[in-house]
Amino acid sequence: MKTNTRSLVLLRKKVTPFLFLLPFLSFYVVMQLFPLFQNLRVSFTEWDMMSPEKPFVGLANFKYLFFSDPFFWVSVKATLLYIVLNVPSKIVIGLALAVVLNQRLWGKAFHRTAIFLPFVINSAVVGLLFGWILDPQSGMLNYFLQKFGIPPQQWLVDPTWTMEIVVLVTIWWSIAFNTIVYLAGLQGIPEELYDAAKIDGCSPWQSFWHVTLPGLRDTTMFIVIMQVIGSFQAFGNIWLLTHGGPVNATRVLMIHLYRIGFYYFRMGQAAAIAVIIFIIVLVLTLIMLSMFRKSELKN
Amino acid sequence: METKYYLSGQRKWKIPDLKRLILWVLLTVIAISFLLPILWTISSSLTSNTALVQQKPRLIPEKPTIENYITVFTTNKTQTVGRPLLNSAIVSFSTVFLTLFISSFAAYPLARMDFKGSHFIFILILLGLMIPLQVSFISLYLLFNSLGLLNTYAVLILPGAISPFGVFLLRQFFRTIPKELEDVAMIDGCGRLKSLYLIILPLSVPALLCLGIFTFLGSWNSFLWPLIVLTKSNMMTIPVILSYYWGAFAGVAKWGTLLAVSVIASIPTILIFLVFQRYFVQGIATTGLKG
Amino acid sequence: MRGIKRAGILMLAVVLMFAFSTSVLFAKGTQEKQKAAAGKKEAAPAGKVVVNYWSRKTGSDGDVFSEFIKGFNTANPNIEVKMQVLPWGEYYGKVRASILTGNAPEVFDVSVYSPPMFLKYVESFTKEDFTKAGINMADYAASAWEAVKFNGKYYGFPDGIVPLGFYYNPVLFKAAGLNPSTPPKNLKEFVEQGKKLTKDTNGDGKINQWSIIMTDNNMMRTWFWESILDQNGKSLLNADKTKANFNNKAGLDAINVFLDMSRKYGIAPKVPGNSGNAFITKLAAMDFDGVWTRKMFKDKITFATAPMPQLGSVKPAIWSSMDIFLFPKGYRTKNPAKWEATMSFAKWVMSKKFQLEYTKAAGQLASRLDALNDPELRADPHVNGFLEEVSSGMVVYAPALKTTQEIYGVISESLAAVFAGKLSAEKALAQSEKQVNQILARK
Repeated sequence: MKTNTRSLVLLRKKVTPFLFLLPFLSFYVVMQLFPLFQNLRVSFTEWDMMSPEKPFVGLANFKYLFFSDPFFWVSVKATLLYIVLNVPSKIVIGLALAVVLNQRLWGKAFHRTAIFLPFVINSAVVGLLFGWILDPQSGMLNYFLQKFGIPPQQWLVDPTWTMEIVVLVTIWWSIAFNTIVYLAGLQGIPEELYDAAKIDGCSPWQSFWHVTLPGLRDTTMFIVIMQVIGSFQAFGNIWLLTHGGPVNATRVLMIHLYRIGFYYFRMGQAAAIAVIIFIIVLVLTLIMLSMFRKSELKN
Repeated sequence: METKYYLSGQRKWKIPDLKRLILWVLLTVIAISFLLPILWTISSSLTSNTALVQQKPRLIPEKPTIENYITVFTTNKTQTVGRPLLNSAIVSFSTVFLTLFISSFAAYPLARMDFKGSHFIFILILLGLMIPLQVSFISLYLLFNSLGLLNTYAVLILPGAISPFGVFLLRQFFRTIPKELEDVAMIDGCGRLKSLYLIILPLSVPALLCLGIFTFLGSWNSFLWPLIVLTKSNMMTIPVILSYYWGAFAGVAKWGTLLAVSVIASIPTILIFLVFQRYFVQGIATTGLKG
Repeated sequence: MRGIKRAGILMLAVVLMFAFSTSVLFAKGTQEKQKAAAGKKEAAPAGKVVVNYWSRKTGSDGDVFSEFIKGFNTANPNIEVKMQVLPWGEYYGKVRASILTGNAPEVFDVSVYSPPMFLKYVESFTKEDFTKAGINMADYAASAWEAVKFNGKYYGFPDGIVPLGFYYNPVLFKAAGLNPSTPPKNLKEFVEQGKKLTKDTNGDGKINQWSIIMTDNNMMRTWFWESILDQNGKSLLNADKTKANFNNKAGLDAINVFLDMSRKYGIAPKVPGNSGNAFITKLAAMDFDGVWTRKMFKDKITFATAPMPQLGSVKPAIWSSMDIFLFPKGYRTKNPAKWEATMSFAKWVMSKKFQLEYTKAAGQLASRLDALNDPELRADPHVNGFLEEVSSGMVVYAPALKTTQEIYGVISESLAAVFAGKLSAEKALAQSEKQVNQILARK
């Protein structure tokens, strides 16, 4: 009897965690991991999204993307440009805003509300709104530029600055996330460190370099990883502003995938792009993690 | 209460008043420029469609009118916003409830129990952060079709309720709660489940609120999945209806109406944000995302 | 023992809560499904046969159409047509997914170049089928039937014609000393009149009324370019649609004629814009636009229409699409009652009464000749230009291929680069030719 109970307790110990995990894991496996696996399968087939058969074509989809697709490398370039413009600027601006918002300044509540507010707005609304503001003819921006004697610009028509504009709009829309996480990070830095720095005669600027920044290293790691992952997956904000144009200037990988898959119905190739994105993100995340870990060890 | 969460130490230095003033002006300019597009949307939504095409842009409408709002609530059945608002509300609140429920259950053992495979499962869940949702659309579509759930609330709620980020966030938070509290309760004969809802969850309100808000935002603003999956007017959500108004050819002269829908679509999220705004920072700060 | 009990309770609680939360959702879903199934497969209690109709008519045309359908449903108490308007961006994806999963509507509409991708999955008809259904093919524009004919069979009902065309503002014509009843017919007249229409009306030294503004819409630009290419005697693809046929003088001239509007004649601003809005705000006195735009112009501006001027060198021509009804396979053989109801709906859409009323009320034109030649419509300046285009035979339908959308995609991107000043016209054509041939060669 006694041993029986003990083994039951042991069994319970083993089973309980999985009971807790059951709802999440079952949904997670069915709705995220399984589709991922399905996607991998489709990437080796040719499928028009309508026929019941999906003939196996091996690596043909990947070959097509790498060697024949006129827009694959264009979209790789666009993605890299988006990341190069987006990630550093959002980290620097997010940090700067967090530090400034953390000061005791008059009207802080207003400042914070104003800067955080765009974050809660739907990407469809953002796309629509800026599509209108930037309209070369009737848009507000050109109207005000003209008032200041600047000739009207071809926003979102001329490909030259489109990616920069898209990134600016994205910053407006989503900088709040980084700012909030940095604000949270700032709270985690023990006040004694600042006291000590002050005693050592550090200026505010020096204490920023020597106390604040090192104290935010983990936060920064989190933000960098989230930003890079997010940038590879960026879709809605770009799609709704430019649909990948003009002249493919903002055709990032995700948009290329969407066009090929949901407009031209070459699901095999679309799935192949998804696989490529997933692998890149996975590898990059691992590299970043190990880099941060190394720098952690050094310190 | 609030200041407690803002003690990064800068207050310890007295920044010279001139520099503070410059900083203040700069910040105010930034804040206003952040607000400007929103204010402009609101004002334009109160201007008639014709006036918007014909007049110069102006921040305060010449002849304010609520005709756009009346239009979006009363015109033809396929285009009113009443039902979509209801749908969005049902979907968002159910998603929040389910997410909190499922995520806290999953986070608890990962934070508190030692068991074989816990590390593996945690990594597996983190992997989910890297899956772009768009790639799963077709398989998900087929899955929901085989369950006969297309054009139901389930198809809008379930995919959003699986939040690897949520599990991650709650796990981090649960780990910060002193273990002793639980141990005492367990000695008193409290089981794991009881301990979760009697001790852990009440102490995790900031984190739960934080996750709840993020989930609500994500669900309310979810656009592409409903757009792809829905084929019945009576199931459409607010962002989908917006895309109706925004046809490339049809939308040209309907800016006022479009912006009215935009404002309506944004009001709930803005309200939620204003009410819970401080939990944004508080929640993340206390979850210790730093590790 | 207590251990067992607690473990049991714990398990039970978890399972119950999980079951509860999911069953709420799933129960809801099953209900809906049963309802849907009931509506789909069998007649509803009232004895009604439900016909689902999916459409891309997201504009006011959709509203008008659904109003008309109410009339049909009242007149046919045993049939209920349910129209579902879907956003056009995701439209074809949804139709495909519905066919794949067996949830296809009984009838859906597509544009002129879309039937090829559905051929395997939709019903086809012979001439006898039409006669049996009570449709006299001679009543409709012959070109409309050609557009739905593939491999010797007809794949749908061509219920409407959707051409591009030419709008102008008679008030501004008069003010410029021009006769509003003689709009330009060719390039020479277009430039002459355009020069008179281009002026500085408020005396600030800057032109604030242009003759025309080139569209900034990629697709519209491409379709108008294709129109001029046709006017120059070439067509987008070769006769058997296996190769691009536009990288030549005809294609180049078609680009240049639009670029020349500003750089040579000075009658259009250098930068393209929203041509429809410019027309409404009188920033432009003329507009190249689609027939559907007339609903937007109505009540906002005085306007008239005319056939597209011949800006090219060989013949008049203008790009056109169509509205085509397709019928997914399955209902015809398996559900005769449903098929019959669907056919009577389709026949109603092809009837003179509907075609005439709908052309009057919404954007597209009737495909029926007697509706096209209706005296009242012919006298309506808002539409007579487009009717003239159809009856004079100058409309050229977009080539129908599985890959048409993609072909337009690559060409429009290259043309956009030209009009943004980033690419020479020659290079743009060469580049698109290469890409289009690549698309056509793929199999």
